[in-house]
This record gives sequence, C-alpha cells and structure tokens, in this order.
Amino acid sequence: MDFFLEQLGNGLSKGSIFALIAVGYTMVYGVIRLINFAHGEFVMVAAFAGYFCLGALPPSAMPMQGYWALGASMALATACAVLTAGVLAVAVERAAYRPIRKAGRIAALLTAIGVSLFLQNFGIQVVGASDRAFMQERQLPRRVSALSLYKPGDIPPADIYVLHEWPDAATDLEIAFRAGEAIKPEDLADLQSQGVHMVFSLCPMTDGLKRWIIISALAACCLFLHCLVRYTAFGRSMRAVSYDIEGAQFMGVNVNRVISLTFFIGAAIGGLGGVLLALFYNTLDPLMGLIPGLKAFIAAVLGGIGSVPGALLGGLLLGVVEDLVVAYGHFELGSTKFNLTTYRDAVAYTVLITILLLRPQGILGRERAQKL
Amino acid sequence: MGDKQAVEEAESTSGRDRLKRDFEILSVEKLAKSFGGLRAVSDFDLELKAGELVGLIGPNGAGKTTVFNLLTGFYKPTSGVIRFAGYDVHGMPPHRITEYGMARTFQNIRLFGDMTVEDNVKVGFHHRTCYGIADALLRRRAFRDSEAEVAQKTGELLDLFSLADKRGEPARSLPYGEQRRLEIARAMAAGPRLLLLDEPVAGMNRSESRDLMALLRRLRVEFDLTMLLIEHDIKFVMDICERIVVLDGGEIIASGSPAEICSNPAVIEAYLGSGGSTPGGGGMNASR
Ligand SMILES: Nc1ncnc2c1ncn2[C@@H]1O[C@H](COP(=O)(O)OP(=O)(O)OP(=O)(O)O)[C@@H](O)[C@H]1O
Ligand SMILES: [Mg+2]
Repeated sequence: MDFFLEQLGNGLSKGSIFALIAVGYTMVYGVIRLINFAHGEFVMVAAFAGYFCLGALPPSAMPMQGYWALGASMALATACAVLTAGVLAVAVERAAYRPIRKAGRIAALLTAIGVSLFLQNFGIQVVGASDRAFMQERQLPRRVSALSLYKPGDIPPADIYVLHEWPDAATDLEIAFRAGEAIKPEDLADLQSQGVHMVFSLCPMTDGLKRWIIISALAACCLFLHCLVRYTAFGRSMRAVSYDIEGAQFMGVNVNRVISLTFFIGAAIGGLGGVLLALFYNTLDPLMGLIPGLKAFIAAVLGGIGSVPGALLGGLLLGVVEDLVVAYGHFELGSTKFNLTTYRDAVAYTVLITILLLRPQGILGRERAQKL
Repeated sequence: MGDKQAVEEAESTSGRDRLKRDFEILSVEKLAKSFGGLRAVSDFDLELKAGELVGLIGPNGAGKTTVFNLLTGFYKPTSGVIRFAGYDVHGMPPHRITEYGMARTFQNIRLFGDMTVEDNVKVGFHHRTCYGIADALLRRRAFRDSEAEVAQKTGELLDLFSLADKRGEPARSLPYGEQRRLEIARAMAAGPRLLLLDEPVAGMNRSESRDLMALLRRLRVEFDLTMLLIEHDIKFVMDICERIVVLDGGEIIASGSPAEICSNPAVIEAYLGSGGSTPGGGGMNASR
C-alpha cells in the first residue's frame, strides 16, 4: 500500500507537470485552432530564466532562513520564468503566427515547428547543449546558527558548514562538522581561532517536498484558470473567440488582444511547469522541452483539446498511467516472467489510444460540428 | 441604460450631436466590393439620419449581407467612403466600429452556442468593462463594480427581451425565435446607436414576428436607436420601415417610402425577374 501511494504521488507530480504544460496547448488551440509546437520550447526558455534567476538570487542570499529562503528564492525564479515565457509567447505570436493566421492550418503548423527548432538551436548556441543541475547543493536553503551553540561531544544530525560572510556566495562548501560524528574539542578551537562565528546546515530538497510544491502549484493554477474563464470579462471573451472567432469581433471583442493574452497565460502556466520540471529532475538543457512538450500535447488531446479541465485531467492521467506501468510492470503468469518496464511508453500509450478509440474527442472534449 | 455614458466616454461631441434629429449618423458614398470578378456591391450610396428606421430589401444574392459586412468592417471595401457618427471608419477592424456604436445581428444565427444566455449578453458588454486580470485576481474594486454593473445591465436587457428565465441555459438549447431575440439582446449590450438587423424575422411565425416588431419599435424609442434592417418578409418591412432601399445585382434600383416602393416598376420587375412574388403581395420566399 505504501508502495502504491508512493508511486501514485510520483505519478501525480509528473502528471501535474504535464497538466501545467498541456494547458498552454489547449488554450491556444481553443482560440485559434493552432497546435503550437513551440510551446515545449517556451517551457524550456522559462526553465532557463528560472535557473539564471535562481543563480543570481539563491536561497542562501535571501534575507530569511531555512525553507522561507527557499520559498522566497523559488518565488522570484518562478515569477521570472513565468514572465519570460509569457512575453516570449506573445512576441512569437505577434511575429510568426499572426501574419499567417489566415494562411491555413498547415502553414501555421509548419511555422510552429519552425519556431520550435529555432528556439532549440538558439538555446544550444546561447547556453550550450550540455545539461546543468537546476539547483546546486550550495544553493540549498540554509539554517544559520552561532558557532558558540555547539559544544564538544555534540553529535550534529546533518553536516555543518562554515559561514564566512552573509550572503555567502562561496563556490565550495567548507565543512565544519560531519553529520553523526561527535564534535572534537580541537576542531572547535581551530574554528574559533580562525575567527569563525557562524555556521549553517542545509535544508534538503526531498522528493516529498518537491511533490507538495508541484501538486499545490497545479491546484493553484486550476483555481486561477477556473475563476478566470468563468467569472471575468476576459474569460467570456476567450470563450466567445473560441466558439466563433469572426462573430466575436462584432460584439466589440478585440480578437488580437484576446489571442495575445491567451498565449501569455498559456505560456506563463507552461513556464511554471518548466520550472517545476527542472526542479523535479534537477536538470535542464535546451532540448528539455521536447519530450514533456510532446507528452503534454498528448495529454491535451487525451483530455479533449480545447478544454482546459480536460488538459488538466489528461496530464494527471498520463503521469499516473506511465508511472504505474513502471511500478507494476514486472509480474509472473504461470512460469513466464513479464517485464513491461522497458515498454513503459508502449503500454502507457496503448491505454491512451484505447481511450481515444472510445472517445475520439477526448475525455472532456466536445464533438464540434464542422462549420461550413 | 448606461449607453449614454459609454458614448460620452467614447467621444463627447458626437454624443451631443446624436440628440439632434437630422444628424447624419451614417453616410456611405460610392461603396463598392468585388470578390474576384464578381461585383457584389457597386455604387452604393446611403444616408441614415439619427432615429430613422430603414429597410434594405432585394432578391437573393442582391448584396444586402455584403453591405452589412462592409459597414461593420468585416470586409474591406474595394472603393468608397463610409462615415459613421462623423468618423471615417474605412479600414477599421470590426471591434473598433462596434465601439463607435454599430452593432449587428446575423442572417444565420451566430450565438456563442456553448455559453449561457447570460454570458452571451455579457460578451456584448466587452468593450465597456475596463479592468485588468490583476484587478480580477485580487478582486479589486474596479473588477467587482464593473462586474456588478454588467450583471445588472444584463439582467435589464434579459427582462426586456423576456429571456430572464432562460439566463442559465446554453444559447444553443433555446428555440429558434428566442435565439433570434437573444442575438438582438446581445447586440444591444454593445450600446449601439446604429443597429443592423439581418433578416430578424426569418423563420418566425406571424405572431412571433408581430411581437418582435413591437419590441423593435420600443427599442428604437427607449434607446434612441437608428436601425437598418434586411428582411425578405415584405409585409414586415412595409409595416415597420419609414424608408426602403431596394438592391438588385449589387446596385440600388429604388429608394423611397413603402408606398413608392410598392408601385415602382423597377422593383416589381426585379422581384418578378428573380421568381419571387411582388413586394406588395407580402409573401416573398424567405431564404431558408
Ligand atoms: N465572401 C465572399 N466571397 C465571394 N463571394 C461572396 C462573398 N460574400 C458574398 N459573395 C457573393 O456576393 C453576392 C451577394 O451576396 P450577399 O450574401 O450579400 O447577398 P444577399 O443579398 O444577402 O442574399 P440573401 O438574400 O440570399 O441573403 C452573392 O453572389 C454572393 O455569392
Ligand atoms: Mg443575406
């Protein structure tokens, strides 16, 4: 049971990230019927924006301690990522999609693929192709305390490091006392003689913590989107444009503005997904948007493309199915051993294709009569 | 209604002009539109004085809907001048022209079928709500006041159009006649000074169309509206319009009072030529 819950939690957090990315696909498709294949790259750019912001303002540089510092630093990085993705998406829409909006869907699709390749290669040019760790150990939030609190013979539960100055941007962590070892009087005296007054321990980023961050981010976004779409003038305009883009203009709806805002919000939420993706796997590179982007697209189709709740549901479902296939992929039937783990994607997608065969419009999608 | 206020916000001078009768709200000169080689509209002149109710009739394919699409900015004219409320609206996008006070309905109903009756009307208020997403997120005063006002005015319009008890239903589930009424209610939400109605009674029975006629007359007085309406139901046009313009093959072939139009040989010829009955006969074939 514990194993099952563990897997479910893992699947849900991966699924939440797919869901956040899928929202952008589905919103943009909803208003202009474009599958924006560059969306995965918006996610990637956002992750890098978050990464650089985190590098400049790591938790260790925040004026607070412990997980508060992590929260503050992550909030700044996320804001930076979200804004970058939103602005990039608006710029791409303005420069690449709007001029060819009336040229047909194939032209738009090819443009989107072009933008996607451009951003990938631009990313490789600028930051290099190799992958990086999203958050290094030295950036982890710190819990600072005075050296004088430690007595010889104490056994610290975690490694204790020397704090030279505040904020401390030293590349290497200088260890003062090791976790689980009794503090030797001579080490203490040594540090005191070096003029060290403050020390700190790190607050680790556990998988459980990451999971909570991710799932609560998804919940917050669901609430935000629901209220936005249901109760605001922008939401009504978006629904109107989505239903009848030409007709909406005659009601005074500025269609271009609605489209720009839709791109902004979709990419911003995808950008949040990007930061969480980088945090979850603690890695990022210029091609990181490709596979999650593709999976989010599948999630959007699964949920019913054009439907925001559908995208959220599709993402969660995809994450959970993938994960459970891995977790329960080994079993024995009679004397034969089966191992489906290596066929993870094949099995997961068979499930999804089955759902789509039963409901071609997606789980929450509407069948839309083709307008003549 | 707050449309006076909206007008003042948009442009104060013409807001005052509007109150003067005989103010020319719409003036169209030598308007022409071709699609490839097809001249859908040519040499079209029209002047509407504030408060007038004018009918635009003509056989199928005469170019009536095309005229509406030109006036509302959906098509760019091939040539010609359109002045609306003193502004040259040539080349403006439809939503801007709507802001200046022109609203329309469609020959084939074009409601937002998924959305509720109430939300359809609220979309019409779009350009009169002015709050940002941040305001909405933080539930700031601008958002709350604006939404409360929109809700109240929507309620008033729905009452006026006897749709209040259907407010929560998706627009597509309404019966045909109510969908037509809802389209007009939605157009009214934009606070228009000129309302363009494309076959408002098409597909309605006699009593429904009589009710709609009464409603249009009432709107005209209460909202100080100017109306231009396309209709195949000649009896309806003759009853409600003060002036009629007849279009055939994209050109105006006659214009004048209902009585003049009835006896105009060119008009009779156009209708007989296209296989319909005479305008005075009242039974022109509707397009559906
Ligand atoms: N977008 C378009 N592209 C090409 N031709 C068009 C277009 N819109 C209208 N037309 C043509 O212009 C002519 C006038 O059409 P329009 O719809 O204005 O006629 P109408 O008077 O409204 O007719 P009806 O009474 O059937 O509604 C028709 O021959 C039509 O085929
Ligand atoms: Mg027509």
